[in-house]
Amino acid sequence: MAYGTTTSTTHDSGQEKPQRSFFGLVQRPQNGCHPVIDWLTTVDHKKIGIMYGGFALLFLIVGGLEALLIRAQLFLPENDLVTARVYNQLFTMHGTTMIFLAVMPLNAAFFNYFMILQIGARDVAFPRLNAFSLWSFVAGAVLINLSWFWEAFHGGWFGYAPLSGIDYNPGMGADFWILSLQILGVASLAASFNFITTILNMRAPGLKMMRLPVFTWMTLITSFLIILAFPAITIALLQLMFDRHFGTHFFDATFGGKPVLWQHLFWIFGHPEVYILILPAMGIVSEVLPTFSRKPLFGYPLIIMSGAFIGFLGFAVWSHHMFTVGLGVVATIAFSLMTMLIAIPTGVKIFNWIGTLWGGKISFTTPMLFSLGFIWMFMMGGFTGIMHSSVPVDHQQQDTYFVVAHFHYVLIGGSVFALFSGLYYWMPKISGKFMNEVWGRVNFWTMFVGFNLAFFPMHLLGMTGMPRRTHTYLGDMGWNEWNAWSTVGAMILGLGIASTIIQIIHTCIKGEKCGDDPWDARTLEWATSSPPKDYNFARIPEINARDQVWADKYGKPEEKSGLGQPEAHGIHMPDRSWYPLSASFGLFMVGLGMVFHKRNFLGWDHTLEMAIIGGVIILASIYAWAFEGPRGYHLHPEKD
Amino acid sequence: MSATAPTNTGIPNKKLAMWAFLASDCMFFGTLISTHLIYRRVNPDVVIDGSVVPVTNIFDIELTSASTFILLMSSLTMALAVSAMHKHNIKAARNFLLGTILFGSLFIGAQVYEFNHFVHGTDIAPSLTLTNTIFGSTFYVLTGTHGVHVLLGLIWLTTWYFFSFSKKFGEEHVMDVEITGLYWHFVDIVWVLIFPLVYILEYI
Amino acid sequence: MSETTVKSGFSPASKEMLDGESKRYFTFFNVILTLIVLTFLELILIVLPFHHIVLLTGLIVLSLIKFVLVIWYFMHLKWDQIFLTALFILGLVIATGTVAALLLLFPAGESVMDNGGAPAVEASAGQ
Repeated sequence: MAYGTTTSTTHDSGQEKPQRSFFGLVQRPQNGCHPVIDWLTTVDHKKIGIMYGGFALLFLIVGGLEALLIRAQLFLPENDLVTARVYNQLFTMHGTTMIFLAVMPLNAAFFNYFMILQIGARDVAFPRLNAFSLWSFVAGAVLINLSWFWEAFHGGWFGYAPLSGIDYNPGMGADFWILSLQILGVASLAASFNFITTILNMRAPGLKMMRLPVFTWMTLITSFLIILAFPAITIALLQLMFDRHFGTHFFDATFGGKPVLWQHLFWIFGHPEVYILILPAMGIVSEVLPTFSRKPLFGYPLIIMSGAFIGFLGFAVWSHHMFTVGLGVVATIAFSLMTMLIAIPTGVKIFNWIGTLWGGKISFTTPMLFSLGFIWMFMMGGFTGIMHSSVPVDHQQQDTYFVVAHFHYVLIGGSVFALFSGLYYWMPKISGKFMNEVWGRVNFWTMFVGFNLAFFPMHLLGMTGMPRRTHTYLGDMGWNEWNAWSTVGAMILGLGIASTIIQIIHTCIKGEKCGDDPWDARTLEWATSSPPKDYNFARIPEINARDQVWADKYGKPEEKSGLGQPEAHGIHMPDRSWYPLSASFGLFMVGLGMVFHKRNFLGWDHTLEMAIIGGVIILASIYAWAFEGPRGYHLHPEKD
Repeated sequence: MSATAPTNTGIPNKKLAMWAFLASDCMFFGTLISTHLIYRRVNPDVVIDGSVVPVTNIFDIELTSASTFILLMSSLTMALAVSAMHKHNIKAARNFLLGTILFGSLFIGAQVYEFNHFVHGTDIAPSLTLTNTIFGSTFYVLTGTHGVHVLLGLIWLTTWYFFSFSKKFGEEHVMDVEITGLYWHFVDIVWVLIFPLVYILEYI
Repeated sequence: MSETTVKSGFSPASKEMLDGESKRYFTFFNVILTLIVLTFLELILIVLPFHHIVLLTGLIVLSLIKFVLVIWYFMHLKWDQIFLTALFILGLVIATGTVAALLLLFPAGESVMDNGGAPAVEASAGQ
């Protein structure tokens, strides 16, 4: 479909003057502002999605380098590439970075870009809040990585008390970690409230819930998991911070505190968190498989219900991370049974995906390869997970490399593969250019081989007793060969990931142009131009079927979408705003000030004032945000 | 998108988002309440300066009961304020808002007074601080977090009170005031749970 | 009629709205009276001579009723779409389940002095 030019009018409820921000100092950015200002103040979900993705890939590299250093250290027994302290910092930061700064933002990138298109909307319910989520994520990401310049946290990404307490971790590392996670939590929570409201309230006419693409469903369920799980870690971190700096005794055994409470509160968050990481991946795979099998998803209602069931049940299994802690027989068995139960809906999903492939006309494109790889690799990770659910078996596996193998199979073989599948699938829509298939397949096989070489030996290392989180090992344990192969595999995996990122950049600059629907796909995002116009759809279509785009091409007459209503006054678009950025900056200042409280920051003593000023900036930004209102401007596409 | 734009569920966006936030806040306070109750079970004796102190000696149940009633009254005035907004009766709404702010401030004042008393100690009870017992840690952080929520609510309500005099205050703000009301009521029901589980529990 | 009370940014409210809100006015007063009475009952529990498990149950029941009253009436759920109730109950169920599980996971302390403090329940499972 060809789109004509658009004209835009500023529609300021009668006034022609644009608003002013920051006490009248600057103009609220309008169309045609400088590109840097445009990207800093945008509320467009597509630009926000791209920025999430860009930062996520950046931190994927950072976390990857941390991993390669770990593997380099473990290449040889009794290696001294890094000290034990640095090694502990590396695995702590690697875990924190990969989970919070790579996978979650990459999920958020896709939620932002594609969920809105899939429901036939023009933007999220609260566009400025969406921008705030992005920038506060950046604030948290910067804060935790600043710690490398002072002292990075070394207590593991799960920060167990009392190790993370002030007695054993007197430095600033833990404080960087605590405050960054709080800021990142705010970002995730804000985004989730936004997505829940958007999905429930802003679907195109006729788009009933049971017609939604699975990816959108998974966005919804993930958002619910986030809003219900993050409060637990918020409180746990608050209590830890109070213990460290205000003399409370939440995890202090000498006053009757129970350090194990930290583990409970952390994993009450931590377990739903892993479903937060994997459900979006499952959503992506549920889009890719039908497209490249040219068949609808098998068992759509079952896949959705399984996803909801996994999410809900995920709140009831947290102590399977604590089987060796000594909870008592009854508690341990209860959690073991609940954990085994979760395997059922997961298995249902896998069978449904296989059912989707069965009898389909399969094309082995790069996104398809990654999704197929996902099914197999995630299944393997799932098998080792079921092994963990058996308490006696877990007693041997806990704190060994077997666990490391398990979660990397589900997180890399699962999440990362699915996310890369999404990247290859959706990049043509985002960039309007084809990704080279040969290069893509080389990347896939490189990653596949590298990943399995890196992590399969870890099962064997774990079964023969190699403990986790130890910076070196003795040469006569029988672990040397597998560690060496694992390191080689990690390097290969790193090459594959780097190559993919380079390919993405190359495609954006020099790729071959593609049309609106290069894959002959099924869902609404493919009904837009590549890349979509600012307003996404000139007219919001009326939906009459699941997989509406497929139905429009090949379906029955009654399933075809309606043209949709034209917008009488033009398409209303929300205005850009400075305040999400300024509020995030204030949040950053609060975090930084609190990390450095009672110390000096680069020689400057007034860090308490920094935190207070940050707080004032946040408050002022919120007020200004409320008073400026969404406002907006109108666009008039000349042709449909 | 304005608050009055049509939505699939018929529920305005901001209202839906606020209820989702309140569902989330249940977990937030649930975790804090759990921590307090766990430590009451695990450490039933509160030991200050080497001797066991009955918590009932520290608490002043009359004062806390009074502040509980005050907070309940603030919930009433809030509901009436929202009701008045729906009737577009701004003068009444403003008065009820003021009442809510008043009652809420009295509640905060009573909390501050109460905390001061606890920290300074009385004839029959030694000083209870954030740091001298685990009871102090859990008690002050739980009730303190609730207090911060009340304070934020008061700031929000006061903003509405002053904004209600502005020319820009219009029909689109009825929903917004209702949402502030939802937040305020939630803060009240958290207290409805804290009062028995933290205070009355010690007496039975 | 309402010239003095309706501001410039507001049109007069519809008749249905006015009627509905007037009815709710009385409901709100009934609710607050009930809440006050229930709070008094909670306080009276302190002096009743029953076993503390009975009193604890009574306390929880009373506060649950108060909780529901505020949610259903003051927070308007009775008159809103059922979806909002479902949404809130989801959060409530998960929070309550977590609280209950956590309490079960931490058995009562070893040195239980019977001064009417926390319930002296034996550890439910060996360590």
